Amino acid sequence: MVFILGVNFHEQKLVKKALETFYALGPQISARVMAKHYIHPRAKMGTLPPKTVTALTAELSSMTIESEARKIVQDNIKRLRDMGTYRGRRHAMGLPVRGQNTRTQIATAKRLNKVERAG
Amino acid sequence: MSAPNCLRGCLVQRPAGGAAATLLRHSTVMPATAAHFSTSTPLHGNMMKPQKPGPKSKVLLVAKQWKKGKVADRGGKSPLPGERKAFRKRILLSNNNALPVEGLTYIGPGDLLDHKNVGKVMSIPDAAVDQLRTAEVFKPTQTWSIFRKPSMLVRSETVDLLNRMHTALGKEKALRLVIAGDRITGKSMLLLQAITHAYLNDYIVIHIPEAQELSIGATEYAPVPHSDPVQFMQPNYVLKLIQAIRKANEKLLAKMTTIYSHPDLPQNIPVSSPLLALANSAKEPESAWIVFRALFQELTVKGHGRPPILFSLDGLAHIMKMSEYRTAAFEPIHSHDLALVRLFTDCLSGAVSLPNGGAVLAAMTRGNAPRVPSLDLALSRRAAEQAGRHKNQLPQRPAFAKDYDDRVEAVLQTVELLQLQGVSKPEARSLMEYWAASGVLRSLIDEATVSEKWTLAGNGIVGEMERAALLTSRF
Amino acid sequence: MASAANTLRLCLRNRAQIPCIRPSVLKSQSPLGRRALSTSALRLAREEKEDTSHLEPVFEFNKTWNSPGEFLKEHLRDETISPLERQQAAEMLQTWEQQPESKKREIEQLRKDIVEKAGPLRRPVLIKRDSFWNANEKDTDYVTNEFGEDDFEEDDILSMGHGKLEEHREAREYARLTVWEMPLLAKFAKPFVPPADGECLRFRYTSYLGEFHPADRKVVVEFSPPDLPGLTRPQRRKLKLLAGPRYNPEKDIIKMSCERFEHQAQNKRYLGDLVAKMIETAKDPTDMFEDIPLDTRHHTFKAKPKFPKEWLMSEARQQEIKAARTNAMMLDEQRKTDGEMVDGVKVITGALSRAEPVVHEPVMASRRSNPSRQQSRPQMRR
Repeated sequence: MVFILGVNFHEQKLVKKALETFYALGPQISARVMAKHYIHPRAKMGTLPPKTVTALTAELSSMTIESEARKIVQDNIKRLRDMGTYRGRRHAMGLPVRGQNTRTQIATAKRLNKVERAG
Repeated sequence: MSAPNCLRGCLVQRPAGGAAATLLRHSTVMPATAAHFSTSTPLHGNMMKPQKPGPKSKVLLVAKQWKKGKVADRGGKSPLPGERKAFRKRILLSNNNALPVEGLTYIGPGDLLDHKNVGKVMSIPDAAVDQLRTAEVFKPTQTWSIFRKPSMLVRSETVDLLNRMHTALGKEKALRLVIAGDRITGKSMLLLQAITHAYLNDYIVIHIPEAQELSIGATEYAPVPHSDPVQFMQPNYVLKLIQAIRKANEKLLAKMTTIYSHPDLPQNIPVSSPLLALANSAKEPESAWIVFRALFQELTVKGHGRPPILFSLDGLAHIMKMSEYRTAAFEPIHSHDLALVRLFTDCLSGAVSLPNGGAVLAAMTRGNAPRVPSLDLALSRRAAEQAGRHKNQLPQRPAFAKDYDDRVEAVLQTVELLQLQGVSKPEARSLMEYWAASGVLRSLIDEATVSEKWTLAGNGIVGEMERAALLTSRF
Repeated sequence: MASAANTLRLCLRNRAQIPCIRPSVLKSQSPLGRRALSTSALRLAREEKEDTSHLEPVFEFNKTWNSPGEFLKEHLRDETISPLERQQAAEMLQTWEQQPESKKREIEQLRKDIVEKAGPLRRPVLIKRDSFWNANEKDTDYVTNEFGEDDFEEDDILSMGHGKLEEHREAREYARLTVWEMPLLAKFAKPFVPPADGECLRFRYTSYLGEFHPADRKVVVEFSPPDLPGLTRPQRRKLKLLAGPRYNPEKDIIKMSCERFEHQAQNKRYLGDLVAKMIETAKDPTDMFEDIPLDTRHHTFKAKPKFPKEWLMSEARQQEIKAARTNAMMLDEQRKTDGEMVDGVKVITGALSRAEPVVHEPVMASRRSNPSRQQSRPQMRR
């Protein structure tokens, strides 16, 4: 079981997939991080030497991911709300923000659009 | 709709009791079954009580499990990691259900050079079989598992190729050749025959079974330190390769001794120690590439009892394009910048010579291979040259074409080309007689059958003949 | 004379006729109208004679005059006319008086005849609602006994049938035209004259057969570089480079169009000038673009596979095949006699007959071997 940034991954898990489980880390950044540390695209967590694991952890801790990225999103929404914009109000009400129809299909918006949005 | 029907029912029938009673009657699910000769009111007692849930039905149980997201337990243990891959890639070379064929001879060191043997089916000696298995020359898609002993048909192309190798040996120059042809014409098989001949004649064989393992980003890679322009080694793969070479060529390696002192090896290998020790010193992936380089250097020393080398590779198209690896700066790495591939391409192009003779053979593959325009162009130019066309009339790159690669064309500038086509009818006949003698082809082998299968196989393409005759249950 | 005609018109016209109200309407508004809710008997109002002597004389609307003279006299008695009108009327009356009696009588008769004849046209045609069974019908053609009016006498076909006949008629019309009139078009036929050597430009124009259309000003020119006189090979190549995607490498034709200007002639002129400019530039030796390859990416070359001549069956090939077959048969016979023929069926049946039958040893079912049996007793050590 390999630890990266405090998260435990099974040895058979692909490194690419493991990296992408972090919030605000997607395919582009994961590919770049892996290339930087000479990890081949189909590597599994169990094949990584401990040196590389620590290097990855260090790399990830220096990036704005997880709570920092979530904070940015929440700050943005808060800013919109504090300015009194339409978008801010929509977030506060839990309704679609991007001009969707509200007659139907607002379940996702109701669930996710909040001022304290959980990323 | 129930409402109008209900209404219609109420109005037409006009039951006693008015509308209310009618509605009640329509809403009850269970008909009031009154006992026939009875004046007492029917007791609905049992029906009215809430039904206790009976023994949990299987359907309910499974549904609950689905809800929780668990997979239904089928019982038994699941295969260990790697077991499925091993099963998929297993090589079976003998089948006791097939009949032993009389008159099958084992291949000797000079048999594949003899023109008299063209059209004969010959068995591979056991020692060579073990060596071939170690080097992963057999492929799971080949039909070894149908017959009792691994045997192969000696084609005219086989004899031709091996004679070329032999003449190059005499001249102390390596034969650099690409085996090309349509799919399932027997390119990998021809390579196998060349490797068998090499093992039987005490060559050192370095075989890369699947070139795609090198370029699709499936193995570890790391930059070779102090290399300019930067090259990338694949330490895990090279380690496996060294171990395969050591195991297959054990006897030969034990006889040879080192000439150079290699100061940068992990273990100290003094001069005049057996090459086997040098090969054994590769225990960690970190040192694998250095050991391999040292080993190769030792093997390509002129004289000193060094045998000829056969450096072979299957699946040329995969290493003639950009690989899936990337540099630290996220630039794609060309396959020729991978150290092992670079070594092979240098040998193939003649930049690195094999002074004790031998061959550098590359087989194309048409199943699961990328189309590389430069490769196709280079091979078509070689074919035109061999056909005798003048230098100025060779096929050119089309104007304004984007996908062409100079490096690929440079590597294949002076290689020879062997275009495989179908086998001839006598060869096909002898192969089918072998199949029939093994008891796996249930038909009389006369000219009509041979002609039929040969034609069905697109004028003798061996793989298609197998599909038409061996791998079917039709007779 | 205008005044006489005018007078006649005035006489014949009924002055300011009131729009006629239908008598039925008037009838429904009878003074004896029933009141909805009333039980008292209907009583007529008491007739009161009106004293109309103090009122002015009412103008009679439907009065007609028998002659212009009467009308003019009446007109002169009117005090509201202007002096000019009075003078005109006096003059007209004088002219009338001077006419001979016969003339006067003629005009009066004419007027009477006209009125009599036009009478039915002017009179409103009232629908005889109270006539039953054509009692008041004057025209016997309209009188029927209505029996069998709508019976089908098997003397007609459906409208579809009429349609089909119409189609047939149409077809015959066209056949008639084809046979009789189209051969006459041969008069207008012009013999085909292929273009001469110097005529290397082919222009295409569009006409919309009399309509005005914005697309009819476009002119398209096609020419082939080898047809142009006086160009060397490198110059022709340069011309093709200049043409770019307008050049079709398969047909070796450059095709250009122009619709910049309003008139066909202007566009054609432009194209002609352009072709001349292209040829001039192609001949210009300053830069011959030798290093630039011809770009044909805009054109997909269609592969036109032809049946290979080698595959054609010929007598010689037929003989070859026959010979090969007989040869093969002979070889087979040879092999059969030598015993070298391999028969898969025989091999398999032989092997099966030689094989020892597999004997399955019966194995006693032990308690231990059956895992589903419940372990009721503890296992005894043996």
